[in-house]
Amino acid sequence: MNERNGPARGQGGGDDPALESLLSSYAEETCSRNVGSSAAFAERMRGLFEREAAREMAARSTERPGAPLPAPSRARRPPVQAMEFARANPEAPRRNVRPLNWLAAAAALTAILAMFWARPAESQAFGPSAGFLAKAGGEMEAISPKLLFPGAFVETAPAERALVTLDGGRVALALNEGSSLKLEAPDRVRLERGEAWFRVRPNSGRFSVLTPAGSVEVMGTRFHVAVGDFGSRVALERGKVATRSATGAEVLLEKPRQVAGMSPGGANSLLQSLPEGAQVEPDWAREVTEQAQIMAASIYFPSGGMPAPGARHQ
Amino acid sequence: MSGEFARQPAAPSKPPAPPAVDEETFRAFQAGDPLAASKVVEAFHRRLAGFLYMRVRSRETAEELAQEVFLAAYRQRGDIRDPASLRPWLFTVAKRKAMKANAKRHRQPEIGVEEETLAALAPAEEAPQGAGLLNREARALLEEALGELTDAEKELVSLRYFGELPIKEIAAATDTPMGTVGVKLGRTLKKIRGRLESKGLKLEDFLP
Repeated sequence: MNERNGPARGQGGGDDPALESLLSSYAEETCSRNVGSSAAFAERMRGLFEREAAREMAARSTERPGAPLPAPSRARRPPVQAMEFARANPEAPRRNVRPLNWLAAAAALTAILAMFWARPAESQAFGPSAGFLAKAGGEMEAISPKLLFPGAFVETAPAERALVTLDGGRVALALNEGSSLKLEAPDRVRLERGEAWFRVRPNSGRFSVLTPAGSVEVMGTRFHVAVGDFGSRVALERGKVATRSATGAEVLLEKPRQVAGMSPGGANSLLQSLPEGAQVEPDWAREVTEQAQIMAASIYFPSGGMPAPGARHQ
Repeated sequence: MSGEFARQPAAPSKPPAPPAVDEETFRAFQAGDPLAASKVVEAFHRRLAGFLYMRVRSRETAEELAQEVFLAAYRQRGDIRDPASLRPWLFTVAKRKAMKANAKRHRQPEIGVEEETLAALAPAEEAPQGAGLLNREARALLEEALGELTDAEKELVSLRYFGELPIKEIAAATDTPMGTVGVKLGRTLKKIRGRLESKGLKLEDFLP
């Protein structure tokens, strides 16, 4: 060792520029010789990330705490108590909540609100409609049907969710936090950002969901749409939807748990389907629907009686 | 010559940092956006794969491990607090995966001469663009010197010059105090210099 050079003084950066330069050149050369294209690798990884995102979405849908709800059963609780219970127990399990006939419940909810608010003179471009905003902490707020007009935006802040039913319950949509949706026409909405869960009554006419990366044509179905920088992802629970990207590339989803991805660049592809048994409807959509039902019931049945799940009020 | 070398001003920290992941991309990555995640990959792939290659001495294994590292980052993105934590996180996981891969293959990780390195010692005109700065002799001597380091020293050198990690991030990746990393790296460089000079390599020829 050449002592006259003095030892590298222990900082490992800049004390031995000649040796560091040699090592850096060696590392650079070695990477050039032995590491492939980062762009190609990143593109391959993107495919893996998309599959992972679909897997996570499926996992989120099926994740439910296992412990049962304490008695008495929620269906027999007065609605206000049920809301308080939900507020006090945000992590309360929901596995044993009786399954709801969502579409019927949405119709019932719309009918209840229509009776509550409807004025003969009011213009209702979307038919009898109702909306609820679930705020942070479990507080619920009704959205006046007057605000549900063509061109109106339904927007949710962080920790807020919304449930809107249109056209007498033909269309029910739940909006997750941080989402923005424009009501364009009775048969068309535009999801600008965030994610939404849709249920459209079968054989009730067409309905479209537009997104920045493409559109979804619906013929009576249940499906989930998420919009982000990555484009739009559509997951089907039931029925059929045709997705069309901004450049016209079409992908038809006709089997449960199929997923399509539309990129901002116009690509549209069938992604890996959600696993067998996966629930496409997100937990948050189910929760905001239940909260809205409870609120609607507390408005119309102040004595505490709730309409039986699945009851039709049309 | 040594006197001249000794008078050279300290070079800025080398090599330059790889492209950083901006806040917006990082947030989108944390939100699970596959496109943002692929941007993270593109930002760190080259150096991470280079580091892994130096640890496992196989391009194929390095590529597989890099894939595992980035997938792990995507799955555990909630644990990565901010953009500055990203690189140390990636290299910490890469380091562990390389260690496991080496242990699994019952093979010592080496920076020394391997068949792939020999194969890569192509004439300068065949080297990829931007490479070929080192002549064959310098490269062979350096690899020999690196091959004589302990495993911990090799890891340190790989993190610093292949991963391009600053001392602070090496400290985070190796769970070692910064001062200790600096001292160990300094000693390691001194050791390499001693080996190279004993073989007659004039290091001042490589001054930037």
